[in-house]
Amino acid sequence: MKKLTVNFTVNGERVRLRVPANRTLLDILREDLGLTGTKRGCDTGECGACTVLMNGRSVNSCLVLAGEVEGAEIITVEGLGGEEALHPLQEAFLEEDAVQCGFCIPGMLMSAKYLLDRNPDPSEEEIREAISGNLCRCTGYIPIIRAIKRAALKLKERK
Amino acid sequence: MSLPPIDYERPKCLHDAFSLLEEMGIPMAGGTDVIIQLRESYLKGDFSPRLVVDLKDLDELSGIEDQGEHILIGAITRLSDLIENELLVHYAPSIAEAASRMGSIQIRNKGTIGGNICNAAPCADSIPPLLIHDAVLILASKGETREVDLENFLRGPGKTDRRKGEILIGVKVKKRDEGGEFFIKLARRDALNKARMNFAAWLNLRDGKISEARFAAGAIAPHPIRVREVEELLLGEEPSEALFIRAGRIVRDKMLEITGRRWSTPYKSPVVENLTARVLSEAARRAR
Ligand SMILES: Cc1cc2nc3c(=O)[nH]c(=O)nc-3n(C[C@H](O)[C@H](O)[C@H](O)COP(=O)(O)OP(=O)(O)OC[C@H]3O[C@@H](n4cnc5c(N)ncnc54)[C@H](O)[C@@H]3O)c2cc1C
Ligand code: FES
Ligand code: FES
Repeated sequence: MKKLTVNFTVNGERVRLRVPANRTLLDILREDLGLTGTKRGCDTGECGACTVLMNGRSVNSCLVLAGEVEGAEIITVEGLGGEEALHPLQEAFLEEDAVQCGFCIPGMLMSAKYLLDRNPDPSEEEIREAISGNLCRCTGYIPIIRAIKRAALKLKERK
Repeated sequence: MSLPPIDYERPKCLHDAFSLLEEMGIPMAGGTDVIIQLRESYLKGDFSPRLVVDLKDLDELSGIEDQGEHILIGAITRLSDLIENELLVHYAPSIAEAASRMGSIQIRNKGTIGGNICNAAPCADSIPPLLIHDAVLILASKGETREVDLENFLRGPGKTDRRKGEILIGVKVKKRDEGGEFFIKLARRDALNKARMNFAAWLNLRDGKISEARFAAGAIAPHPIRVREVEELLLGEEPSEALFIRAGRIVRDKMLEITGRRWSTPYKSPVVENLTARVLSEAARRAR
C-alpha cells in the first residue's frame, strides 16, 4: 500500500499529511490532527456522529477516503466556535438543554449549520429532515429541534 | 472498523481511468457502497489489496443535460443534485422524488446515481423510476462506447452486464411531457432508509383510457424489474380501483413465481398488492 500526500484545509488552516490510502477523513481528524470533536459512532454512514462539512456540503467523514480530501475545505465542530466565542448554534443548544451525553452533538451541530447556511428560516418539518441522518439516543430530539429554531432566530437578529 | 490495504488514484481524464481500471481497479464515485463493502470484506478476512479508482474528477461524467426528447444524467451526479433539478422535476419527477428519499442528507451529498445503478442492489431506489423512463446506459471502455437498456443491464443482486474496465458515463432517460408518474417506497424506520420494496409507475390517458403504461418494482425479484403483465393489463382500460387491485395481484403472483414462498411471504404479499394499487392510482390521478 502506497502512502498518499494530501493537502487540504481544516477550519481554515492548511494541512499537509502523508497517510496510508486506507485512512478515512474521520481517522485523519481524530488520530492525525487530534480534532476529537468529530465522533466515531458506527463507521458505516448510519449515525451521523462523524458529520463534517466538506466543500460546503455535509458528509459522513467515516465514508471519505484520505485521497478524496486532496484540495478540499473541511469544517469540523471545532471550526464553529470555541469556549471564548460560541457559535449561536452552540449557545442555543446550551440554553435549550439540548445536550445529554453529548456524543451526537458535534454531528447535530454540523447538520444544523448545513441547514441554516442554506435556509435561514426553516420550518419544524425542515429541521426534522435536516437532522434525520443524525441519531441521538438520549434527548428524544425535541430539545434539539427547539435549539435549532432558537439558533435561527439568533442568527437573524445578528444580521 | 478498519479498511483493508488499498491504493488510491484519482485520474484526471477518462483515458487514464481506463488504464488504471485494467489493472484490477475498482471504480468509485461517492464510495457510500464501495467503502462499506471494502470494510465488510476485510472483516470477513479478505486482505487482497485493491486499487480504488476515484472517478470524481472526470467532468465527462457529471451534470444533467437537456437532449431534446431525453435527459442525460451524468453518472457521478450526486443524489442531492437530482432533487431540485428543474429538468427532472418537470419531466421525470419520480426520479427526483426517489433521490430525495434515499439515505440521509449526508449520504445524498456523497452518493451518486451511477453508483446506485452499478451497485445493483435489489432495492436500489433510483432504478424503478429510471425503468419507467426507458433508461439507457452509456458505458465506455478503452476504444468502445456502447448503449445498453437498463433493463438488460441488471442481472441479479450486485450483478450487472458491466464489463471489466468499463465505466458508466451516464444514463439517458425519456422525458415524459404527458401523463402522470409516482414513486413509492417502503423503508425500514431508521436513518438508513434502505428500501424494503419500491415501486414506480407512469400512466398516460387518452379519452379517459390508459394509452401508455410503465410499471417497475424493486425487491420483488433479484433485481428491479418492469412488470410487463401489469402494463398489458392496463392498456385500453379506464383507471379504476378494481383494475389496480387486479394489477396488485399480478405483481404478487409474479413475486411468488420468482422468489418462491419464504418466511416473509405472508407479510410481503398484501403489502405488494396494496402498494401496487396505490402507486398506480396516484399515477392515474396525476395523469388526469
Ligand atoms: C447509511 C446509508 C444509507 C443508504 N440509503 C440508501 C437508500 O435509501 N436507497 C438506496 O438505493 N441506496 C442507499 N444506500 C446505498 C448507496 O448510498 C447508494 O447506492 C448510492 O447511490 C451509491 O452511490 P456511490 O456513488 O456512493 O457509489 P460507490 O460506492 O462509489 O459505487 C457503488 C458501485 O458502483 C460502481 N461504480 C460507481 N460509479 C461507477 C461508474 N461511473 N462506472 C462504473 N462503476 C461505477 C462501484 O465500483 C461500486 O461497485 C445507502 C447507503 C448508506 C451507507
Ligand atoms: S461514524 Fe460515520 S456515520 Fe456513524
Ligand atoms: S445527547 Fe446522547 S446521543 Fe444525543
